[in-house]
Amino acid sequence: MNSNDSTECTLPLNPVVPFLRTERMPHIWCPGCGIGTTVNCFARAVMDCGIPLDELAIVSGIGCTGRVAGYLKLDSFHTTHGRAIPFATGLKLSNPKLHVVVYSGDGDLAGIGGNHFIHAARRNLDLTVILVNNFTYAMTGGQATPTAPKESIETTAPYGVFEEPFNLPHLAASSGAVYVARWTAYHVVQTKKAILEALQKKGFSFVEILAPCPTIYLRRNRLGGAVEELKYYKEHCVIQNGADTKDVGIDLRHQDKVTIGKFLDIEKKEYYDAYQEHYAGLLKGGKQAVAGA
Amino acid sequence: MPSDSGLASQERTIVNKVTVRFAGDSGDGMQLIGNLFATEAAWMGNDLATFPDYPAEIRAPIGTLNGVSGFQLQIGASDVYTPGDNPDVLVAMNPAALKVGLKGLKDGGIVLLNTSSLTERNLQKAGLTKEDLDRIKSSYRLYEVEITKLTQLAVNDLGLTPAQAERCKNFFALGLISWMFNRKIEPTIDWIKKKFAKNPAIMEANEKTLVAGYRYGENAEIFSAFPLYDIPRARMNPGLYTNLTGNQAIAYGLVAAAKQAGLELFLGSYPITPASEILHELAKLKHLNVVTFQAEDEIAGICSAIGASFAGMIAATSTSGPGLSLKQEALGLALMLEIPLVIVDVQRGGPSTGLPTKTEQSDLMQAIYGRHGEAPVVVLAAKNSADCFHMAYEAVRIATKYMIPVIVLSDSYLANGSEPFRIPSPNELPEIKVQLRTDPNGFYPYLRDPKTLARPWAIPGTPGLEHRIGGLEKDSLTGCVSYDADNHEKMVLTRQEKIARVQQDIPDVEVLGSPDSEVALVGWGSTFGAIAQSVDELNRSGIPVAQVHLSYLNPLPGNLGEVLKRFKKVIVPEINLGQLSRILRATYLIETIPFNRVLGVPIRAQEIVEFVHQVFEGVVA
Ligand code: SF4
Repeated sequence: MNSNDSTECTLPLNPVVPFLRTERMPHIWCPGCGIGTTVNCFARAVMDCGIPLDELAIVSGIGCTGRVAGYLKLDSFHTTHGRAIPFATGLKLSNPKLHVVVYSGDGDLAGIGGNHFIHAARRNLDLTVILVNNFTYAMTGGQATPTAPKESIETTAPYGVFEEPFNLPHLAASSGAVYVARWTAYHVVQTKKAILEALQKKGFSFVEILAPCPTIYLRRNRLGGAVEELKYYKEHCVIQNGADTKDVGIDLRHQDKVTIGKFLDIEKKEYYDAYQEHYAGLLKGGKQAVAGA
Repeated sequence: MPSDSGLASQERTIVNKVTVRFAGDSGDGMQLIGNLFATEAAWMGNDLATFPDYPAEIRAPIGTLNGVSGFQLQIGASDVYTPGDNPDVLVAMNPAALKVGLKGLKDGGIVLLNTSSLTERNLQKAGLTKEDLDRIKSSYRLYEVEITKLTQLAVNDLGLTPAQAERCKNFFALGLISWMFNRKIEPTIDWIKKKFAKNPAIMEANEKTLVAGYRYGENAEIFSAFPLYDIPRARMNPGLYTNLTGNQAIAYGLVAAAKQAGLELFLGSYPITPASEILHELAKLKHLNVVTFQAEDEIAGICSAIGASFAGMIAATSTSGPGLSLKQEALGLALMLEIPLVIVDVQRGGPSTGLPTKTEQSDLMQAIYGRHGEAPVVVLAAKNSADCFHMAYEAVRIATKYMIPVIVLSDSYLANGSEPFRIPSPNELPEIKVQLRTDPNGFYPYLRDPKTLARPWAIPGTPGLEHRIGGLEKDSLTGCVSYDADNHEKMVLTRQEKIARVQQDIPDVEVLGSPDSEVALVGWGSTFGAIAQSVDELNRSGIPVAQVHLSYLNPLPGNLGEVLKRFKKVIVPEINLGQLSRILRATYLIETIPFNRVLGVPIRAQEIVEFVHQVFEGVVA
């Protein structure tokens, strides 16, 4: 913080400020954008879980959510479009002590990065994947993502989307994830808790957060502003912890109910441990990193 | 409705050209009023070129220097090649826009400043002091207008919220500028009426604000001594004109070519700045039987297009540099298959994510050479926004005639910039004759046309023409997999020869400017306008230079070597580190003098003029 700011501001410091690169503020997100809310939840989760900040790294892809990495005072890596997970994989395998978080959007992780997503889940590599789902490629101007609800208007779907949207929790769970949850930018307490649990979970953990994009998605679809969208979440979300993920597909405004909650929390052998075990006879000197180190 | 308000046109100061820069926050609607002002000028018969310059983020931080969104345009009574080097007029909606926009403004230029925005906080964000403002006042013709406040006054009886009212302020600025340059505001009013048809309050507010801005110019004390300007109509070829951006022009060029070929158009693409509008534009044209497929990634985009081509559609994929890198493997396959395919690369600042909204010409090498194996493809480049139409069309013509992939290079500057485009009638356009093979007699998948070396385009489902194509090396006649060494060499050479033979089908280069001079400026792509303007200026100031422009980069035009050897000095301005320069040296064993800038913006004509002076003075050799 520079001295000018501290003279202007007499309010107590926001508790997440130590986690932010305040010199990079103001951030690029629009007023009402849900991404900032998720960052707040994330910072609070990090605070509570007590992981030393130098053992935590964040990797993101491209897009509005991809910019998260740039605002957190952590080792962070803003990668190419769709490839956050493979970069994170290399990072994690080279330094297994690091907690590696992948933080990106629906277009990035489920669109161009979809293949990497299912394979990381299949391997059950110890990554925490946070996906902010706002149903559009916002930064490139509002194209349809693989989660876009049917009939929504996007720049590449001027006559409305007709394709089926992904059920991301089911995709993650059926590909091999061990922790799967879905919350929204309205459910901040639960979102924080889910991120906290995901950080502590060993294996591939996945948290989907539905979030408003007032500038592109809501405006183009005439759905009002961020407040209306949060109200929609409040009124239509049904918390169903432990729900079978095959039943939690969403199609906003088409289907009345949006199922949210913690869907999966199971134990399974993690990739790096499996690796160590498999090659125990070959690896000299006990445990060591897979590559490098 | 405002008219010339009784002013006879002789009382106006006639100017040949004027460059205006609109600057404000990304949410201030600068792109919108810039485009509308361009439409007003086009409507009055001016030639013009525009240059939108905006941040990569959808809504960059308000009031900051990074968040400034600019739109520059030059309108003129004679040929306009570029959006202008140095603006004559700056419209600044806030202090940050003032600071950013002043860069390059002509000495003594006009500044229209929204003084409602001069809060302490905004000045601080822009790093401007009161003294800076005084300095600006003494160096430029500063007009201080409380645009936000006047806007609110203009609409105060319409019952809008303060935020809604404020949002109209760009139209006040547009009204005022239209008054200054005597542009009629009817086209803008028409646009407002159409755009806000469903929202009468906003429609009325915007129209009222626009008119208020115009009237303010007529009546306000500070403008009483303002020399009213006028820009006469330009002499242009008669015909029906429309204002098109480069991306729109690419889309329409592809549609026109598919129509001419008698086939349907398929576009398989993935969102990427600054190429996405091609996909958006074509997605709207379902009624013209255009199939658009928004793929899950860049690779799926090109692969789906290859599939569509195999099935007999005019197939294309559009992208930018990072996407072209991802498509390169599949592009090698398209070459191996010998099927027609158009790949549009709207270049941006690289490498990697780089500068997504800024312009660069740095994909030339990747377009010509960027694949594994010996994998030549045809490469074309558009020289201005309107030319994007013709190059997209030309790409389809060559791709279908020779059964090969063709890359069209555009860039961020052409993609977003616009200019008047004369809509051609179908019989003015070159013929595209496509013959889908149906006759099974004597059919071999790789039996070639002796002149073009094209193999027959036989689509799956044609009785008696069952065949397989694929990525493995093929027998030179049957197309069956072949690992034979001699056959491989023959096929590599044939594919190379096919590309080389395209040369017989493209025009020779013309020498513009002073053909007998000793110095030539050689360029490609979007630097065309800046080079043309600099050649114009140099020749008029008594320094004879010639211009050679390349629309075809691979293969190069047949007469190019002979033409270049006529000149003692060949200067090659490019927005990269000398990619064409290297190709010319390697191909023709000549000396070249590269002039390279990579600032994310188009090269300015003035920079080229200065560089040529240095060459003449022997400072640069
Ligand atoms: S465009 Fe949408 S997602 Fe991007 S910052 Fe704005 S509101 Fe958020």
